[in-house]
Amino acid sequence: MSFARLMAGLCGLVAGLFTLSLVTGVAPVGAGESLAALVQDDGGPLTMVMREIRLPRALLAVMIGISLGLSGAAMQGFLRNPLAEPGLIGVSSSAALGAVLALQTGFAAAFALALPLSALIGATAGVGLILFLAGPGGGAFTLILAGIALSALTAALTSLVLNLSPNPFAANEIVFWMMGSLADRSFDHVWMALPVMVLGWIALARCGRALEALTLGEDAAASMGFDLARLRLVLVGGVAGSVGAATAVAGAIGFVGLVVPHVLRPLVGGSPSRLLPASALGGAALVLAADIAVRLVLPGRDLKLGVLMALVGAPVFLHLIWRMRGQT
Amino acid sequence: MTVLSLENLTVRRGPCAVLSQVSLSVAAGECIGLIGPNGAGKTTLMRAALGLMPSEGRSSLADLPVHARAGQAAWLPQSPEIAWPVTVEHLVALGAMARGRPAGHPSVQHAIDRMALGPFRSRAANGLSGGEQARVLIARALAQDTPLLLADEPVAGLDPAQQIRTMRVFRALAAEGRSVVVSLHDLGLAARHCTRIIMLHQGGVAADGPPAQVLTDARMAEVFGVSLFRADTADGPVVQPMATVGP
Repeated sequence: MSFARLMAGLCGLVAGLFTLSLVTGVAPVGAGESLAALVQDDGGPLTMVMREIRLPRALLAVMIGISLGLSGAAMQGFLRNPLAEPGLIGVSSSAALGAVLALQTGFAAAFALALPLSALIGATAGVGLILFLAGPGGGAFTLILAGIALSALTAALTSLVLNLSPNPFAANEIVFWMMGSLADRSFDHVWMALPVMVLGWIALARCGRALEALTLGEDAAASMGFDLARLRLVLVGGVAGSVGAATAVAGAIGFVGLVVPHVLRPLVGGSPSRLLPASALGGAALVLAADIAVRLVLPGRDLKLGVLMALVGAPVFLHLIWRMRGQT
Repeated sequence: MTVLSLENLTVRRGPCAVLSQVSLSVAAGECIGLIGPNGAGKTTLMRAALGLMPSEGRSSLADLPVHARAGQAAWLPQSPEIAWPVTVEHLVALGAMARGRPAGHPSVQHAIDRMALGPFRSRAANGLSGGEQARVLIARALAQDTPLLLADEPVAGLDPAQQIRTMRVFRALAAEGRSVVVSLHDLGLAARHCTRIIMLHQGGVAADGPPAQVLTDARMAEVFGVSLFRADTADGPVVQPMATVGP
């Protein structure tokens, strides 16, 4: 399959799932009527549902999918490891810790965006710490070790907060938030996350040529004129911005950044730079599909997106690993 | 014309100098064999010259801004790595990409032809045999189309015919006015195909000159601890380590 055809197919898939997401919901309204209410403001409740609830939800699914898919492809390219994922450098767990602290201290209730803002601050602090721990060089090894250490530390601190929480309601809220969801999000969340994500996407999109060179290893890439220390800074910053913002507005959603690049890699001929846009679209399609599924599988039960993604993603990933066994 | 000049290049690991005060220059049109026993500093010398590791002293390459080095020298590391299942053609084209050139640049096709990779061009590079991968990586370095090529034991995984073909490619590059610095353990290949040999020993230059002047019995015994069998044939000199000497 040619790259242009693949990209066209993925664009079509995302557009189709985006439309399907817009017309999926508890309200018993036909698809045509829903879309008409979205385009033409009839002043009724359906327009409000479409514009204030379903549209931001679908937009967030696309934005978060792009962030996770793109970051996963970038991390796998940088670390030259198909099992790498964005959470490896501790961004998601740092964001989660920020959100958990906000929920526990009650700061989350101070104003509408206090929770995602706290998560974003957590992600930023985590990335600062990881870059400090990893040192000034451009190597991947210290970055992985620093990421593992940071993930362990933030997970321990999150558990500590839950452990010592005097308020069972706050603990409950924390546990549900950490499962990841796109329910009840508004355009406020879109506008808060979008600028940070876009900066992250731009940073990651600029890494394509260097990731191509890294196919040959760090030494060869450095000799080909790529500043690996700068690449690491840009890449970690890009992952932090996009995944930090994604976690901030939707909680922790795993497997997208791991599975999507893995599935699409053979379709782009293994090229790390082509995998970036393909994984961005693939991630958007997967998150849209999963968010549609959580509304259809158990309507009215608030099945969490992160839970469904892990339930579906883990067996798919195990299947991929099973297939890899025969090849190596 | 000088394509690489090193002045008192020194690399330290802790208190030890693994490369000590090395000064040399490489002129256009030279095919230089870098020889020395294990741990003599061959890889360190090339990596430091390229600016890939911290060093003291000066290297004309390392002094360039990082992005400008790709236009001056191509580097073929000792441990080959092909992380993803990209095609041979795609991988070779990375050499052109390093120069900001498109994948369809003539240098890519030229490199594929030179390393006889035509039949493999559409195959996944990381699915080839070790020797074939080595040829693909040499082609990648050739496609970078630079005045200087530094190659760290590039023929180690190749069969005898491919070793000879590869050394002939290096010699042909030199004949075209480019320069090649190639580290070798095979002294016979170095003696037959290189215009100049630099012998490293304990982090310093033990000898530097034409093969016949460098590969003397005394130096071979002192640096490598071996004696050499020599013969002159119509096809050039033949050199073969025969026995260990000394302690």
